Amino acid sequence: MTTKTFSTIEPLCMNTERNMKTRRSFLTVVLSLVGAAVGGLLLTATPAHAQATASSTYTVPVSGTLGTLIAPGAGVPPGSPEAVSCTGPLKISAVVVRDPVMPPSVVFSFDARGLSCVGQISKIAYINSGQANLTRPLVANDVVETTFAYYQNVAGGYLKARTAVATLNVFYDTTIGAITSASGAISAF
Amino acid sequence: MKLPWNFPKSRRKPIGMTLVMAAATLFVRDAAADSVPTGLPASPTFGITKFSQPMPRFDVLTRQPVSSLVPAPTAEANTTQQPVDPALGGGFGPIEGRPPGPIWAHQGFTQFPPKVAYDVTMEGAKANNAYNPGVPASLNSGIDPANPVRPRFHPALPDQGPLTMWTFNGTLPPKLVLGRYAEPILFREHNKLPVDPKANGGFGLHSISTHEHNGHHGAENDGFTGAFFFPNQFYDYHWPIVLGGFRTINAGATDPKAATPDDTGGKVNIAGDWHETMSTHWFHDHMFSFTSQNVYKGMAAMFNIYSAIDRGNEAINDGVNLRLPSGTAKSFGNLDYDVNIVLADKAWDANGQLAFNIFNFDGFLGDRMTVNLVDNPYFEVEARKYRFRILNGAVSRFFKLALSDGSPMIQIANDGNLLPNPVVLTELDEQGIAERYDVVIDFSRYAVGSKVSWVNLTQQTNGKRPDKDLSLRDALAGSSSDPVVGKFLEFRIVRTPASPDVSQVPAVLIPNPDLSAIPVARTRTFEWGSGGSQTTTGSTAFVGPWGVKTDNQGPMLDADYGRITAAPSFGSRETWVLKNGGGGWDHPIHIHFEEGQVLDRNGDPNAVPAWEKGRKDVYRLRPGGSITITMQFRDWGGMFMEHCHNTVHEDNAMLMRWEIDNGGAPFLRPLPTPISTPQGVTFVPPDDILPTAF
Repeated sequence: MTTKTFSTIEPLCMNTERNMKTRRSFLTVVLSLVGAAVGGLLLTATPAHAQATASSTYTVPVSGTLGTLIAPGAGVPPGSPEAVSCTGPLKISAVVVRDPVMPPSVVFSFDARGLSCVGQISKIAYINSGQANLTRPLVANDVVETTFAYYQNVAGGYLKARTAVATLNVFYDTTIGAITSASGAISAF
Repeated sequence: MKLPWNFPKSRRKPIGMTLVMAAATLFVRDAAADSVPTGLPASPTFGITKFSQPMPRFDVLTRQPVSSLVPAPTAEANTTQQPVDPALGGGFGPIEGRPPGPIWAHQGFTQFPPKVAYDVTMEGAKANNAYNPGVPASLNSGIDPANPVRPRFHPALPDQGPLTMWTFNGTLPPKLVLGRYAEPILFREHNKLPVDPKANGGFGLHSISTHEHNGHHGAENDGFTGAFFFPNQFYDYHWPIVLGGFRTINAGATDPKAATPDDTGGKVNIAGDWHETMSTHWFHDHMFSFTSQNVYKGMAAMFNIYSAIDRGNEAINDGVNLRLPSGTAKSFGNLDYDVNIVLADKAWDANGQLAFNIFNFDGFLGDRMTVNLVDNPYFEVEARKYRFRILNGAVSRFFKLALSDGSPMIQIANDGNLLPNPVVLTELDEQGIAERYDVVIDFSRYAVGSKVSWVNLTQQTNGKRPDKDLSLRDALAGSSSDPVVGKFLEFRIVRTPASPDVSQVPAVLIPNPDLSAIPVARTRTFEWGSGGSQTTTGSTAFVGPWGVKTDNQGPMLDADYGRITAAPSFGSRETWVLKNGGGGWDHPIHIHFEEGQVLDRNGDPNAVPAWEKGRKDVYRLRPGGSITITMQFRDWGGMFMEHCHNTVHEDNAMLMRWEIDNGGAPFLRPLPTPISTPQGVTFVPPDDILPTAF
């Protein structure tokens, strides 16, 4: 691209007869589309410019056993499946969004990374990548079931991750759009 | 020169036809009011069942010498005159539709001359007699590429007609470009669509502009929405494929990680910041106000970019190559275990032809799930690691993927950029339109002969937003009212690999570029919502239900590609706040050209999930949400865009133009707006410049 100033470009945008008519032609199309848009709006589109949001958080203490139950002392090689004991908090939060034309919805966030987990045989710590953002309807009592991966906290442990499931029983005050209470459980998937 | 008086009439006709069709559509819609989610009668199944056909790999486009292009590519648009079809107004016009002159000349054309050419068409559907999957049939579910590939979603469905489906080269499967850094591409695209705009199968427009999403190229090659070209014209896109920051960072090309693969298993150092290395792109039509219809018709393809880091060869162990699942035979770009995937929901009419409701401005959903443009297929795999580059190529639908047995997947990239660290997930996040998630699945955990499927967990019954994410258990139960929930791709583990799987998924992939030393020059706020209004009346303006409000000033404005909404200074870093002003709706916002880093969600840095901690180019707002990102604007100039990638929203005015034009000598300020016609492109000054733009 060579150096130019805007003034050197100016002649290109002079309204020559050809340009004017070309623009007019395109304008015709645009106007037609506008008409279509208005017609379509009247029939199908819905306004959504008003909104109200409410957010709340909650911590759910849980404890449970994940993984494969193997009798202690069975001589499990390193990295093999084993039962994993977990305890700690599940953090949940809800952003409730109200809309003039749609039912309220919930952006439900789940975070299991605060769990403390230990292999019952290996005694090695396990970590997890349990984060999720879930779209849910706003109801007085929502049962949310989601899975998450957990793995030994060793180099390359994530390559041998396994799956757990969390089940959360969440109660909302649907008037204010906030979590009022919740309980949960974790287990092997 | 004779004036194209019949041009407006011919252009107006399809709109009239459209209105008639829309009325019919609405009538039908009323008659089938319970049809979920299309708003149209349910797509007839023609007796097909899920997993009864193989999933084809993408069709690898042929690399050609640049010398094969006739006429030879030029820095400025080739304005050689040719007769224009009377249906397009007659007279004469340029053979190339790119805006003429120095402003739209290829930036860096001398510095980065094209080394590889692609010469493709955009045309109506036809059989493919030259399918190149890039892998043997054994790695393509047994598909014999010698057999013609018919343009249909299933062998039991009729062929798509040449007016209904428009694709690159007019054929299926979708196309794939294999590129590498420092090997500039000249992508020549010929528009061979019907000159009669009514010949569109009921939707779509024959003028096109191809966006290389999210190429780090000059704006003249970005597929600007107003730089469209017409039937019988071509457009030369020059993709230099450079690392971001090449002008100022590692300019001496001494950093061994900033490199590109050579043809013998080695690498060649290049300038730029290796932290800006990109991997998985796609390109698609970006025609002003017709993107959704044209992309839905098939105007989309993928583009894998290879680098020394992301080599596409899992065996080369040089301390730089990450050795991600791919293959070993070629020095780069092995596709054996590196699979491109495009997800798209579709609908078809009683004749099995693609159907689209052009008057649903909430967003269009299909009721049939396609993978690589075939209906609910199976894919044969070996018991080893695979990389899948998953593109959400839908119009308005979000997907959330899990494996049917709940097994973990490892997400390694988001929006074409390798993450700083892999993230192990059993359920991927909702994937917005145009987002790309690269994941690794290790099938060695399965016995040969077993099967596992991908499952969509997100239920959506209209184009506004997802209704809810189901549990894996509920999604598999088949109780959802959304026919696209549930299993959609069946993996069949057919054998152990012939040679050992030497691929790796390292704990560190590509850390983010460090922008901390660059001061934030500006913070801009863009609010995306409905109730937009239009303050301009020019030919570049559109009126629709959606809009963008900028910097908390003035009204929420409808799209006008003649309006400059923002103009960051060349080389500067800015922070952009993207806010959802659209109530409970969701909008995946795409910012062209520069990759951004997410700083916070809803003002909370801790709310940024692990899979969003890399670089991105599509940012989901989520209902009622906001997201703050930071970017640096550099290397190239010109006019770019920012828009909702729910392309129905985009087409109905949720789009705005921004530009980089203050970089010193090469750039103008402000840039004139191109006005494209078959008889040539002219320029007009911007019809509006927002007060906070500069």
